[in-house]
Amino acid sequence: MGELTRRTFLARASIATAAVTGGAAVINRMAALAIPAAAATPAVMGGPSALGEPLVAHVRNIATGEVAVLMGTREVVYRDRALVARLLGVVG
Amino acid sequence: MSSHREAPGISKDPVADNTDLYAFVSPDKPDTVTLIANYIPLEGPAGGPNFYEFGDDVLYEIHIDNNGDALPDITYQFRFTTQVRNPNTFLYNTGQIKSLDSPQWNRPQFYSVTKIASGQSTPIASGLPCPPCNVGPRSIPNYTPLEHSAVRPLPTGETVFAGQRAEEFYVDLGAIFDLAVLRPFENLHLIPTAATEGVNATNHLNVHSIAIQVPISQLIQSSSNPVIGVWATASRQTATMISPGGVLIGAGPFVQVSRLGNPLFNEVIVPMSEKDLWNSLPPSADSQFLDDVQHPELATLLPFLYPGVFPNLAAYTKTRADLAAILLTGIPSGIIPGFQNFTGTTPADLLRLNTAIPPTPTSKLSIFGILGGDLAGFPNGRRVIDDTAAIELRAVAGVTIPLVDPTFTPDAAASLLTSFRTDPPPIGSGPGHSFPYLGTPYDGFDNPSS
Repeated sequence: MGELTRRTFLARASIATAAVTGGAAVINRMAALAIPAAAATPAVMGGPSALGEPLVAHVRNIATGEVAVLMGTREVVYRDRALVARLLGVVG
Repeated sequence: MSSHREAPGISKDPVADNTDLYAFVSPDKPDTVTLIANYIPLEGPAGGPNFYEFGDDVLYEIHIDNNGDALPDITYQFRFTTQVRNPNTFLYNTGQIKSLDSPQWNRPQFYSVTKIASGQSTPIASGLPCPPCNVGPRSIPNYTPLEHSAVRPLPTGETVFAGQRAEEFYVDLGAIFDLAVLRPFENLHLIPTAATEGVNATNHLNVHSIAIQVPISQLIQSSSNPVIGVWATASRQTATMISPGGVLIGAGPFVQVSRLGNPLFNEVIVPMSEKDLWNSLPPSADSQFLDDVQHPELATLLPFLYPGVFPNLAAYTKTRADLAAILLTGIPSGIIPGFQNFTGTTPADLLRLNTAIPPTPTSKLSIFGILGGDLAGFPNGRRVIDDTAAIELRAVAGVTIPLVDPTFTPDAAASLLTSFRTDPPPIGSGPGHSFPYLGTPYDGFDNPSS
């Protein structure tokens, strides 16, 4: 498998992993917070796939539910205790 | 060293480690200023097969403050991209490299330049080539045309170069970090041995340089305010993940991991517990380090390590306003005849250059800069030849206290401190006389054990 193909594959796999472990919830919540509901789903959900960029959610503070969502060179910080609780459940 | 491996964190990340920063009025083009930011410390020339290169995942920046607020008014950003022409060989080059577009060069690197000014980010150029590392005479029979063709004019008036160069900073590392020994003064040390000549520990090593030559008219706000403050940084994205297959993936905003203004500031002035913090901060936050400058640890160590040599320094208990001026505000007018590089009262570690001071003719150069009566040298900016280690050592030892406190008499030894008896000291291949002013990098074949 060529370098470019492998990179592309890994980037897409990374996005998929983020979605499985809570990334989809983060994206939806970001959309609800940041942009009108009518435009939220297609604009945000289509972004990562189109850009081929990884999305990383960093739980900064478990107690407060503070989550930093990183994509490209952007960072959005918000609080979502329910999401953090679900993520904790995933890792046992 | 100037800023090589000066903090615990960045010493583990050499690709982003800012080692030296130079800023001087170009001697052969005095209507321009040359800014050079070096990264990747202590490159052994024989370090193959994966020779040194800039980080594709690092944001390199040179910042200029021209109004004294310690905030960047102009920033040049440099981003690098590495190509692999033949993924099926382990070789850096599969034959002789005779040009920058040689198909035999397997791992060329290219870069882009972006200028940020007045809140506007403007891409200036992309696809600019770096020269290869100087592998050896069989791989690169003639390095000169390669380094020359990597000097590129930009459409906006600047000239740039990025790539490997000879390390021109000189210091006796093995001695200075062995309880601050200066070999010419070993006989006076607390643990004495016979005095000897200093050893340039960085001789025959290389570094990676980003150099940009900018018309002075583009750097200053007006001729009535000719002083600029310069610093360089390196930044990485907030998160880096290592994916299966070893592919690194970055995400998030760039976060500063390395900074350099005056040589040795973080290395000698800032205590161990704050060095990584200092690297992450902008110069505008340097007021928290004011006390470290006003009461430098080294000034108390010198009288202890050299018993009886620095009695006046040992007895001096006032805050070091001289060092605060040199390192944090610039020197106001009226202190040194014909000179000032004051940027205001905001304490910030900036390499301050008065661009109105013309280059000193070669016959009158002093490697001791202003301390040697040469107003075009450090701490008025910094030239490649300046012996910044000796200048700062002498300043800390008290030579500059009389500038602000005429009641103080420096100890006789203070103005003699140096690692090298000879003048000039042995400096690698010798600095170049034209842009980018740093010597041709040492090749690996002829310098195999550096």
